[in-house]
Amino acid sequence: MDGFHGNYKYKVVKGIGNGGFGFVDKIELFNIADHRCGEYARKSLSDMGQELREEFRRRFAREVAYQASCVHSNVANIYLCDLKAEQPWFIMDLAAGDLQKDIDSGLLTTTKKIDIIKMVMEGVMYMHSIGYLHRDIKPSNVLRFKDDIYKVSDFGLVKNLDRSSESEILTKIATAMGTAKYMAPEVSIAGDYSKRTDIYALGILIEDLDMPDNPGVQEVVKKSTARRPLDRYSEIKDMRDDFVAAVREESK
Amino acid sequence: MIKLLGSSAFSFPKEPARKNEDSILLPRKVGEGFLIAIADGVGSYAGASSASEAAIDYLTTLRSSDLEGVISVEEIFEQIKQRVSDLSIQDTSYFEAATTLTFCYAGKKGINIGHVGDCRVYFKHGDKLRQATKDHTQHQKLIDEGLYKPSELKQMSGKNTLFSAISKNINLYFQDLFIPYESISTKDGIVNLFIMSDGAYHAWELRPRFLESTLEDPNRFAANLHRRIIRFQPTDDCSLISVKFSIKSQLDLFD
Repeated sequence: MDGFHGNYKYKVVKGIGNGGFGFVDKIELFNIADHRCGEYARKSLSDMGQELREEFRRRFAREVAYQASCVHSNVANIYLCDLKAEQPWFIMDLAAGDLQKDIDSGLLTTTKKIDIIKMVMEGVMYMHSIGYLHRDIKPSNVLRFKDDIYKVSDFGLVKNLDRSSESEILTKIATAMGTAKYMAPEVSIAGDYSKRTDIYALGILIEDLDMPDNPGVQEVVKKSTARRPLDRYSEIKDMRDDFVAAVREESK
Repeated sequence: MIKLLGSSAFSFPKEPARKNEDSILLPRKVGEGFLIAIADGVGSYAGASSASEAAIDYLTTLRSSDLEGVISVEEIFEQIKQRVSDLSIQDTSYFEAATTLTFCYAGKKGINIGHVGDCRVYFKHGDKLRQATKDHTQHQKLIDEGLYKPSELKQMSGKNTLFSAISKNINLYFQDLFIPYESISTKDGIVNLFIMSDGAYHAWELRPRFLESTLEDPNRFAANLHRRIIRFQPTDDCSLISVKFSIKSQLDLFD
């Protein structure tokens, strides 16, 4: 065994991913009675210099807390975590793939694309409903699980809107984070995030899926990626309703 | 020949028990000119007051040749950024420490302004004050880029969010302005110049008017603005430097 935590123990099978500040291993999880629970993914914080360590441990703990508080079939769940370890980690379901790879494979049918877009919108809509902004929506952060269920993942840049309003009285500095292609203009120009910036990223994600010509869908993309934030949808629900109406014929 | 005819200043915290994170540089004779500045430590991050003090301390080391062009405004900000970055060596919790800085050097031909953040420089122009600097706030940037109209942002958060400040982790973005005396002096060669931190101009902008005689007297201006801030309660640390210069020699005045 490579580690214990509470009533569980795990064995690292292999490394499956590397990011800027963390890495992901495939693990086998067992309970204390040696019952094999199955294969899972474990994300760990990379080792880093003393100066950055505390800050990144804090951010990692925040990522875990936000993701663990989301209970929705289109948001990746967290099952176990150890934030006090030398290299903090958490365990989540092992994904079968991600949307970027599925797009690259060119094998997604139109019906499948429609289902995926609806699932991603449901996941982000849930996050907004509990006051979170995702801030890094893109195909590689949408994971595919068993039965082709797609879930929003990677909470590294999630922001809690309620808490930010409390601290508003103190001056702070805004920085643009995320991935340039999916950044709304107000993010890249002034680091200003809102539900509308997640909606912008969702619009680009729909574009990435390269839907067949459908004026309704094009209109949804156009409205969700408008340059002026107030010209976009204010809520994902409205965007989803327009999208569902536009594809009603094709999903039949 | 620049003569300082009057100056007045204040710098105090939002609440008496709190630390004032603003630092100010009162008119300092450097060569033939005068240097004034306000630095406003960015409150969300540890080390705000140390950062604003580091900025002002550096300015006090500058000589007249530096301010007349030997050192560029960019180099001045780079040097201060280095000092603010070094704060985290003494205390690791200061690694995000940040400050704004706005300084004016009244030299031979005009005013050199270096500006990062959301303090403001104003000049008296007739019976009004005219703002010379642009706020490096999220709201101002969104308006400048045409993403929002000012009226659309009134009810939205972000007024206190900067997109630029002097900090280890932030790329330097600054304004470097030169304003010739011809454009700001009266026919008698008088220049009234003001630097305010956001706490002070918040109160000024509530009703940006005083009697012209108040605008041209630094002491009266400071006293009146101070009274207004206290009456409406400070929204932040408040700092003002108000100065009055004569840029003509006494003999010129008889021409």
